[in-house]
Amino acid sequence: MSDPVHTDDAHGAHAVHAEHHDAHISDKTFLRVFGFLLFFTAATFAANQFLPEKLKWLAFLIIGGIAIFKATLVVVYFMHLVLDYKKLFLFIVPVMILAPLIVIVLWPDIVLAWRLGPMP
Amino acid sequence: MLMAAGVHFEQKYLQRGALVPTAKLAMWLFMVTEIMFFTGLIGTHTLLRMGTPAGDWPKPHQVHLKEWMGAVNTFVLIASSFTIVLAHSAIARGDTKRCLLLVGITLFGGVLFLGIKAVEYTAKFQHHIMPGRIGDNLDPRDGRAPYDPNYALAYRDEVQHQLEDIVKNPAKHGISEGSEDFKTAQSFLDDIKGTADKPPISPLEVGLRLHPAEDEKKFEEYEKKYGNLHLTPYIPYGNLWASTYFTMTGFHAAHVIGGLVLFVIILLKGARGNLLPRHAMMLELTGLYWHFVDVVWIFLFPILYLI
Repeated sequence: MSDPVHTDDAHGAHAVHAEHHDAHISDKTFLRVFGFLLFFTAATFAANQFLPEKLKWLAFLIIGGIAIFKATLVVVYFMHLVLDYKKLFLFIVPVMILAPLIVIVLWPDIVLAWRLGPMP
Repeated sequence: MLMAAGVHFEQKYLQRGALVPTAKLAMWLFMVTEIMFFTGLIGTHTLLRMGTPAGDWPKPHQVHLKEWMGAVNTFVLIASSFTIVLAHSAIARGDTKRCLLLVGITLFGGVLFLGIKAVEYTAKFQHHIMPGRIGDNLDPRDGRAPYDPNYALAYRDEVQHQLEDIVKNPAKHGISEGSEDFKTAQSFLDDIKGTADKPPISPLEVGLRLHPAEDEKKFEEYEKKYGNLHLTPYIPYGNLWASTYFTMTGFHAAHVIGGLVLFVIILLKGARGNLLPRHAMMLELTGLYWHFVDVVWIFLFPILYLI
């Protein structure tokens, strides 16, 4: 079937543009997202340097939370997912569930087993 | 709409297949498999780390990890993600020249990232921090892992050989004959070989002297005393740390190199004048891949350097 993206006519670029981006993310939005990413990178580094040892759990939460937030920003804006999500979520959501599940499933064997004592 | 005389389908009302262009679908499918790949690696690291007793996992300064280098790398990758998305935006508007310039800047960012990684890896190699080469498991009273006395003795022998080489050719190691470092090496060697009235020290004792302390101040003393000798350190769980570190950052660096290949292809196409606005999809997909590489690093950086 003819895929508008691959037509070689002069309106090829326009067809690309119109076909999958009725909306389109402006350069200004990208710049703002970049600014956010830089700020949060600095915040992560600062949280690591300046939080005392006692609050290590808080540093863990802050740093982990910021990492997830930064990754979300990159995926949603830089990867245009804000426009394409409805078309792609069937790929992404199961993997996002499966990925932590793999770690959780192995937790009793690798992490908790140490507590049982020395190996035979 | 169905017409009376025959069947006339209006194509745009009949959607078969995916709603995104095939190429984009394929790229997302590939990225999803790569997410699973990196989840396997990062998940393994997480499990192994959570499995070590509390407080025993090596701290960053013990394994010569500099957080600021990781932070600079993060900044470089995020900036290059920004430039590649601007490049796609430019070519979608028809501005090929600007697109090529931005792709060139992105390529530079990628190369800079690899350069900083190379500096970090070199520092690790110089301090013998490589999987399987770190002194480990030297304490016979530690019941958590099976203690192998031959393994511990092999560590002591390795340190002894290194010290003998330093004492024989100090110049090769950048140490001058009468200096403090030379005297330290000499006395250490005597302790290991043992004298008439003193038995040779145990492997654990050797390890404890060469153990980079968790405490920052004691670590500085250790660095001052043994830093220039570059002997194999004793870092509990250090080999596990090195294995996971080099696996994760190594595979990530391989993915970065793949991205650089894509940029070179685009730049070559542009140099021959073959890059046209209709190639916007190529830029978008390259950008998607590069953003994925960036997202992986966004997770790797806190996991390896910070937490």
